[in-house]
Amino acid sequence: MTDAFFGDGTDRWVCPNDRNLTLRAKLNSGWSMKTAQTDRQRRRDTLTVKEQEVIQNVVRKAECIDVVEKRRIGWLVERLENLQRKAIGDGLDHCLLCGEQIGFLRSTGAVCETCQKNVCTKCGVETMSRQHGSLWLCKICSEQREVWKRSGAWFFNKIPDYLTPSKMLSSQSSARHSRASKAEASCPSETGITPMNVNHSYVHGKATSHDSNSESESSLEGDALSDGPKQVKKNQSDSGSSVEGGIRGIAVSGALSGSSSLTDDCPGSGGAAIGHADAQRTTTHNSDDGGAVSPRTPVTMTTNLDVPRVTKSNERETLPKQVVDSDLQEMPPESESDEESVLGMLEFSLLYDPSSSSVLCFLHRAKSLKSMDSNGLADPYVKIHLLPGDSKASKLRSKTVKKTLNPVWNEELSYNGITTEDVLKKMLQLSVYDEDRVGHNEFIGQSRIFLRKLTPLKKKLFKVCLEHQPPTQLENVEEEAEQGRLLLSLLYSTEKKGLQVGIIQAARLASIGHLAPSSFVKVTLQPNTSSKWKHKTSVKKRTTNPEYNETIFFEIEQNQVAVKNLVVSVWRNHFGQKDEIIGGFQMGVSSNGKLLKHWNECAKKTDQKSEYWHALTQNVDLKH
Amino acid sequence: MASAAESGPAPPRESDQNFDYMFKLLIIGNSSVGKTSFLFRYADDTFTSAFVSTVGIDFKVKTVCRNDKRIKLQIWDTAGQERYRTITTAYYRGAMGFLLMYDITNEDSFHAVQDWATQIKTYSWDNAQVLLVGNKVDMEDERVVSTQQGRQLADQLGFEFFETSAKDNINVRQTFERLVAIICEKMADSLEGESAAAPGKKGPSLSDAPAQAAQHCGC
Repeated sequence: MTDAFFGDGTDRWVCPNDRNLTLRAKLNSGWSMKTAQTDRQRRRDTLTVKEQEVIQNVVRKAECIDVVEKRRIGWLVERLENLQRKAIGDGLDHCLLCGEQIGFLRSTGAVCETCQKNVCTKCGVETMSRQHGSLWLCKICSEQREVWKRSGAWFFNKIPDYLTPSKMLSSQSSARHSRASKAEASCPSETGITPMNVNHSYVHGKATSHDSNSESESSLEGDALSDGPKQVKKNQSDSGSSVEGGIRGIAVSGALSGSSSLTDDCPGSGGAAIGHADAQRTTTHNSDDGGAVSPRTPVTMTTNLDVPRVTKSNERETLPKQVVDSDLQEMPPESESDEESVLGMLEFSLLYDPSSSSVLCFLHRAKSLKSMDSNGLADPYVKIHLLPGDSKASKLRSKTVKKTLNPVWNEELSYNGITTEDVLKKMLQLSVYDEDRVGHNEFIGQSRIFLRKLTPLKKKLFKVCLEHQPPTQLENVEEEAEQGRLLLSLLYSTEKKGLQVGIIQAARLASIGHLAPSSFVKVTLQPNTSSKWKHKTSVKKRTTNPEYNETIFFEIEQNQVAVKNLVVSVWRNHFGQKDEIIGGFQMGVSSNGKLLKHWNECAKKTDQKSEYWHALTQNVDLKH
Repeated sequence: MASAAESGPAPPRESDQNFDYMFKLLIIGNSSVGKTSFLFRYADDTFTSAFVSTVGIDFKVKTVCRNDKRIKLQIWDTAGQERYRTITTAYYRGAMGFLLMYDITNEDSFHAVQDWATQIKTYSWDNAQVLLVGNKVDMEDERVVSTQQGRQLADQLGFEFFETSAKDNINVRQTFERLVAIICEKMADSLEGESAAAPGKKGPSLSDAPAQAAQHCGC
């Protein structure tokens, strides 16, 4: 069959000689290509932008069908599992399924052809077989056959990838119950089949994701994604695609995850790409399950925050926005006004989880972005800001998708330490930029979403038209410059006679320039009469979201607590220099708001741990 | 069998469930043999003689009924042009059935059948079913590949054979129906032969399936 590839008369394929092979190894152009082909021919073979777009659209369409199919299979599998779980009999003299005694009174039994267990006639199914005539199967085995057929497993020899509804539900609810399972909640796609999700927390510039750029950079990689064992043959037939892998890589990997998601038995078959697709699928699916929703905080309009202009812009933005129940297939057609369609569309989902005080932002894709580069394309990425607030500290950035006006990110970014107050007051600003290697990154468009539009635990899909930047940035119109957040727990133990202060984690710490601070926390009980009342945590390096997880114990009589102040401050640790304060707060009877509430709660409810996020500010007297 | 659903998880929405099986089919063959027209005729019952080269890949979905089972067909239409080969071959692996098409008025397209068959063997799942389709029988005057030749090649490759016309709507539906029927038979066989083994655990081995297709190997 190598005839097809090597000189079967048409002389398009030439067996490469050693020199050719050496050269190719140097060129990284893959194992084989058409030697008889000139560069010009090859260039003609590469795909144009338009073609790439067309193909991507098809791939996307196919993905939708695939999600539905995965769900269907998941449902079949789940039903079978339930059936198996519910079988209570021993299959000997009691019916395997219902446990009824066989042969007793009216029950007649049958032997399942497949598992050879006894079942009563009610739990058995009589089927016709061409070879054996009629035969009996227990309901489990018959269901198993059905799943085998319906899922296509009969063809692929195994059950294809699927999404089970209940797995997702359970992970959601467990996340609601405990803080410990927060990781799960912030990474819902782990419940999927191929967990490949990206979970950034305030990492800017440090993309921990599988960069899809790398897939699209060379066609060789794109090819490598496509078929494990058959790769060599494949490359042979590959029409010299060493130039401009661009969308090829993506399209091919999309193809795999789309139409034949069964390739995972091939080593090295499109891990990253499939992962991306899966991540997205799972997340899309997941959002359906927000069934049990914790009571939503009543929405009250905050007065001074919404400058009229902003409110207006927000209303405008609501119009084109389509909030769909996150089923990609049922998306209504996008409405586009002239001006806005010029900038492009952005698709993302938001999920607010009050139990972990987090807002997850799933960036799906953008469509028809305004072209920014001379080649008619752009290298788009998304920046997210939590406003109002320190824009630097709250900035999240997606990876960059190169050379496209229809980028697909499939990335998950999360904000921690979002309190119910924040949800009422704050908004997310998603801005799409074009990355420029030289010069300033260019702004393409943006969209703003008020967090109060989110229902807790219910993922909401947004398809918005990007807007122009408002004339003035609203970023620093806030009450006071917030330097970050700290999650603190308090507990007065009557048994140990002391106050236990837990420094759990900080979020959105203000950074200088592009450097995330190395930080530690100082805790003092004032008036400071004993050296025991002063503590420092260890230094957490270069993160705006450090997790300290340290508990500090102050030995103190309960009645003394009331007259004390707890001073908490977060410090920036400079190597070889003096430490610098980032921000802090003071808790005590003289404090107010949430700090006071927390303090009082701790004093009143002894032996009960209370945990709250507190804002770090600089305008408090933080002498330690 | 569907009766077991009563206590299971809530079934997916109607739209997800209104079919029993899903088959993915792929139409391949040289450029301009009429793959897209064939698909459009089958899925939408439309025909246009204007030639628009398919960009990469496309697909259509059609649900058919067979023996009271609803079968959702996802039919992939591939570009015949070689420049898209990387993309199109990526879809071979998910396909349960292939329509390998040539144009009876175009000898090149007929000669390429052998190569296409090799492509299928290289990239597809072993037990994928293939039909050989000679399209454009409405252009009898320009015929250069006789029915006899077509049938002979099909026999040699171990495929079933159809001559069709997307333009005059000849044998289009029949071709798809036959392919679906063959896949259904295979499906029944796959469970039949192994009725003693629990399909959910081990899975039937289908090693005998590609045997006929393998005989023609040129090497």
